[in-house]
Amino acid sequence: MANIICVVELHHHRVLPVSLEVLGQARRIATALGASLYAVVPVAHAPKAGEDTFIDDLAQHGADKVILLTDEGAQADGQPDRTDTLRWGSYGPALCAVADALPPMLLLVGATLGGRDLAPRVAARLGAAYLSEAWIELEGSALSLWEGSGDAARGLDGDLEFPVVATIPPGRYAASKGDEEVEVELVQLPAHPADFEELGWEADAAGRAMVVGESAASLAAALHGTATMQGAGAPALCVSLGPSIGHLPSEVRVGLGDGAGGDVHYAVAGSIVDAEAALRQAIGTSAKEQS
Amino acid sequence: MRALVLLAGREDLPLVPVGVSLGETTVLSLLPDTPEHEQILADARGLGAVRCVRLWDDSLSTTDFLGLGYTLAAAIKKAMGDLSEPPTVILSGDRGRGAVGPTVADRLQLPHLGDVLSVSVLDDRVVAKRRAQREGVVRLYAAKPPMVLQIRALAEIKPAQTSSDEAAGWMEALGTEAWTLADVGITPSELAYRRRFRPRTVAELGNRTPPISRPRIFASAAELLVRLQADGLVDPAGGK
Repeated sequence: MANIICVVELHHHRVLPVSLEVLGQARRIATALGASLYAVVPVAHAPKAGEDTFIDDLAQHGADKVILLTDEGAQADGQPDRTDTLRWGSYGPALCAVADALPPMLLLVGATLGGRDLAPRVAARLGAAYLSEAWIELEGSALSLWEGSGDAARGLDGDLEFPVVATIPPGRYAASKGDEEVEVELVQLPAHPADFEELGWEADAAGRAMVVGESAASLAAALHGTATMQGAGAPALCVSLGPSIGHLPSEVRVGLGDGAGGDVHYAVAGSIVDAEAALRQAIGTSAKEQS
Repeated sequence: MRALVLLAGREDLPLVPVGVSLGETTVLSLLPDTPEHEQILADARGLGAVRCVRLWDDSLSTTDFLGLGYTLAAAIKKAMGDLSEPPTVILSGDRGRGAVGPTVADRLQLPHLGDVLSVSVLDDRVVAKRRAQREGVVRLYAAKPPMVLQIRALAEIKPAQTSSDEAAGWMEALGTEAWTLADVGITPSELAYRRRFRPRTVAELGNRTPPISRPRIFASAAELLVRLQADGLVDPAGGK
């Protein structure tokens, strides 16, 4: 039987929405193709009482089996959520070991900061094809695999006789439903030397503005700190909501319903002006327009 | 300490001054022999690179990320020898997919770090800042080279271009080392094996209709905010 592996990310012991979306699409494909669906969850330690509700979530969203990759020795001081540092150096080799034991036809992960770090090297290690910000679709009983959009899209052709590793952007697919119960396996990472020492953190002053852009290009420029908006009216759409809001990395691109381009992940419906006002009101912070 | 910059195109030129800030910098590119590409390499010299190597074979245009990674890793070994002495930092750009840098690292069995925002040196270690997924922070990572760092946010750095006269001067004075696959011990047939793993363009695929991205639309900004909070990207307190 073919295997599909989904790498699941947690935030404060809850599954990230993008991981549930990836799992949902994987569930639909696994059902159509008769494959087994494994949710692999990198976690700092085995969940204690009250921390394990994410396992129920994964069961209810379609996982056939949950594999917990625990790294008890890697818990860093002052880092309450170890999976925030999901990257190749933390869990990559262990994930490849799981993939060796359960050779997947698809290995899918959300296109988060961690997923983007992990997936290409896993693909290299497995000798797999790699798709970034992918579409994993069914055409009849065959897979249709793409990355990109429209004329700039690129796809894999023919019968796939090799594994495919792909990152999936947030918001692309709906979550799915599954059973109430799921088999759980605990895999303890072997002791491994740290590749990088984590020195700590500092405030990301440049990245703390939440920005609504007229287009993906202007939004990306603003998110990268070069908030020079192009085009008529664009400066009025670039709204900084203050340093207390939080950080919006460029992995998630936000636009406005009527003007959002194809590479925007989330958008707010309605007119541009209304959306801007609503966003300010929702976040409840005095906004400062940038020019 | 020294640096090697993987230059895939003009967009990667901002990597060169990052490399120069670390030490003597070599540029390695997989680009055909065209005036445009020679200009890019000349610009790299103008930014401080002391050595430019250009490797090309037509089979590179049809291989996948792994074929490119194999080739670059072989070229790095030939160009740099022992990556530990002197310690070498390999810098790659993102180019949207971010696949080649990690692949080179895997082939060379080096640690890699993606989405790096800035690089500095502390004693004999390289300190890389990397944006965290959540909570508005930048995390700091340190290690002794060799390593591969994939730099994000290249748009923040605006390197000056050399004039065509300056470029010609650089080329005449220093020249670019032009290598073939044979120079790094790889055959075109090895790369051809990976051809079927490479995603093809819409034109190459002929009669297949590509998907078109659509954002997920939220009815209100408040609903968007709930989602961003669930993503862990926005403070659950809503910034109040």
